[in-house]
Amino acid sequence: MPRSRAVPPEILRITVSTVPPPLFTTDFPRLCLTREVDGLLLVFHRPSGATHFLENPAPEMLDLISGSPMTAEDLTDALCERFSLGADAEARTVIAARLAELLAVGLVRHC
Amino acid sequence: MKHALPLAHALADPISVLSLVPGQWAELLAIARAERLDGSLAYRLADLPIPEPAARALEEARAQAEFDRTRLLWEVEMARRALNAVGIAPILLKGSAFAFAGLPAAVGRSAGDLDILIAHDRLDAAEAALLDAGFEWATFDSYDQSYYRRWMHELPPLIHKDRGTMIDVHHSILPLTARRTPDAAALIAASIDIAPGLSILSPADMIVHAACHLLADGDLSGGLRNLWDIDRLLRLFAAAPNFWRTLGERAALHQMREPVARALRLAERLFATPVELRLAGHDRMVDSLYIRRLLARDGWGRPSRPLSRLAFYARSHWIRMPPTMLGRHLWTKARRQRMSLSRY
Amino acid sequence: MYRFDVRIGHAGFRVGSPWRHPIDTLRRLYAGYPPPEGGGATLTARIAPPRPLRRWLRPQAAIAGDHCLPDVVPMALRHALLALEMAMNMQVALGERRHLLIHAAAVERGGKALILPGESGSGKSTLAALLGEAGWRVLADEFVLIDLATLRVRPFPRPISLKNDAIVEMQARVADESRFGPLLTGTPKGALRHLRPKADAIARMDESAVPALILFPAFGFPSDSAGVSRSELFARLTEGSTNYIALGQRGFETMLRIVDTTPAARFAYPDSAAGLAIVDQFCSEIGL
Repeated sequence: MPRSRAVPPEILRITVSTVPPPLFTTDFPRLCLTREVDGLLLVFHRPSGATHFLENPAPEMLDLISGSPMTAEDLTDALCERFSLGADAEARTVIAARLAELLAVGLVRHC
Repeated sequence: MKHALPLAHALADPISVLSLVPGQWAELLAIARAERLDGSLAYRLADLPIPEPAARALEEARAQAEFDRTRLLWEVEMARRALNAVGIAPILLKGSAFAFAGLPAAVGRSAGDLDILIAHDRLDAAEAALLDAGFEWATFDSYDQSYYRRWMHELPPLIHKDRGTMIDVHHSILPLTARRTPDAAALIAASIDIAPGLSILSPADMIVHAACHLLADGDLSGGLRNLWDIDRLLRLFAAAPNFWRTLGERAALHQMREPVARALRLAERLFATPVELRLAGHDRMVDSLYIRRLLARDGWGRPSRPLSRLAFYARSHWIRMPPTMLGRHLWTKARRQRMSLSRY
Repeated sequence: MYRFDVRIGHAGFRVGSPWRHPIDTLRRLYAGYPPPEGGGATLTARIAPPRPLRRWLRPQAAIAGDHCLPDVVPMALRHALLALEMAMNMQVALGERRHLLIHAAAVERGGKALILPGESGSGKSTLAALLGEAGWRVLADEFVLIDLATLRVRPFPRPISLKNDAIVEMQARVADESRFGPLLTGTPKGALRHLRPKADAIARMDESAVPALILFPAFGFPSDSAGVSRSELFARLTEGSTNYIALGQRGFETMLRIVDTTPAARFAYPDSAAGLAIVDQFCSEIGL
């Protein structure tokens, strides 16, 4: 099999940037009953019938997304700004993980 | 009670329960629960002056049906999210269609799994999207997997790893090996958009599918509930002009004329469903065997009439597979059963 | 089918068995319990041979009934009484939708309920039995039923399951031999014997009580105790409820109200005397 030529960086950059990153949205707190208990947010999500204990930064994330749909990147920036933290790689990893969890339970969805 | 006829009576003619003596309520409830018709029964008997303990039991059945409905609609939503993301708009089948569309058949219905229909050429994409969304195969056995993919009308069952719920992805409504071959493309073409990204079958196709599911795809276990669905659906759909003619046309198209006719006759016999006589045809003696099988549940909730059940069990294999295939399949199953028994 | 009908609290059972002996034993165990209301049971629990031959050949009893789980492991016929009890429990565990179920024991004094949630081995059943002989009324040993509207505990005073050492302990305290069921050895949980609550607890099975204190026991550790936060209480109670999820929004709201209004703590104890002493201490602190 012939060895492929290395793709020039300019071409690579163009290819990557044409796929838009996914947007996240939420109906929260609509369709939910919520209660703060011991610094955690207890949530009854009516559509799924599931009960969740949310701890920081999940409630804040939901609050920000419910304002307007965001990419994970924008969300990380906005969140870090709210808490006066640097938006570094660790922050992005944590946010991405929390987003995946919220997506899996249906509190957050793609749009 | 020796069979489930009192349950059929209670559903068809709710007032009939007022003549039950206290001791008979335990039996009626046992049969209803075993047939998964306790929710439906509860709604049919609401507001009747029945004994307090029975009324409380039915209240619990209604609460369970409520919960089942919520859970099913949520499964629909999560499946929609996963499949819409890859451009697939699934067609809801059976209970999920009834619940989402708010059909009378959904009232009090206790949910089963989520059943959806998609085009055959979108199967791989659907499979990938669902696995991505947290679903896992219910069986890893390579024989089962290859069997399903080659011969069946659906993917092997998928179970969600967190929610534990099951989804059946159909690409047709009967196995490819069955004697009848419904027209899956025609089902999809006639389907109705019910919400962004979701469809249901047309009314006539819904009846064809229900008859198919009841009579052409199994051994009639749980059949009384399927027949009750058909009764509820027919009473609503028959109000539309030309419904019976359309039903006849679709039944012919899908090679399901005989099962549809039989389903109409059985519904008329057990639930006094108004049916169009030409489509239903005249009574057949063998209909009584079907009735016997459908009512095979005793007052303790146990399956009864073992010979009848055995006969229909044998029939279920026969109608799904040609004889040589059947032989090979049963041989493989028997070998596996013996191997698993030998572990004990 | 041999048959026995009985009422325990809100539940009217029809209990069936193809073997006669287990039903006779059950009837003796439930001596003094009332029949179902209005003569009509609405919950069916039964045992059955897993396969027809198993009725006679090395007989086994599988639990069955209106509500059941798939894949139940059948028991040897000599444990049929246990299978019948489990079948009855299953009907409540899987079918109850008018009360919130908490996996706990409970006792009552002065109209107030002490709730003891816990898994097997936590000692809740033994504690309830001991308290039942020390002036408290036994409300439940397995399922505590909370009324969704009033939050009151509705009694479900079935015979208490005593295991292993607890059997000897209670045999020493309870003079009336007829309150005990047969001794079952070699069960999955070891030796097991049922103890029928006092006649008073059975006679007053329709008298509800207000939840006043929730204590989580842990048997077999040095004496210790600690408060339980509201979030921990919510989590632990829902975890131990078989019907919280099925109750949906009403379950959520009821559980929140319990957590808001009922003080809770956990305690460890090395033996019964220490356990009872700690319970006494907690109760006097809150005026129970």
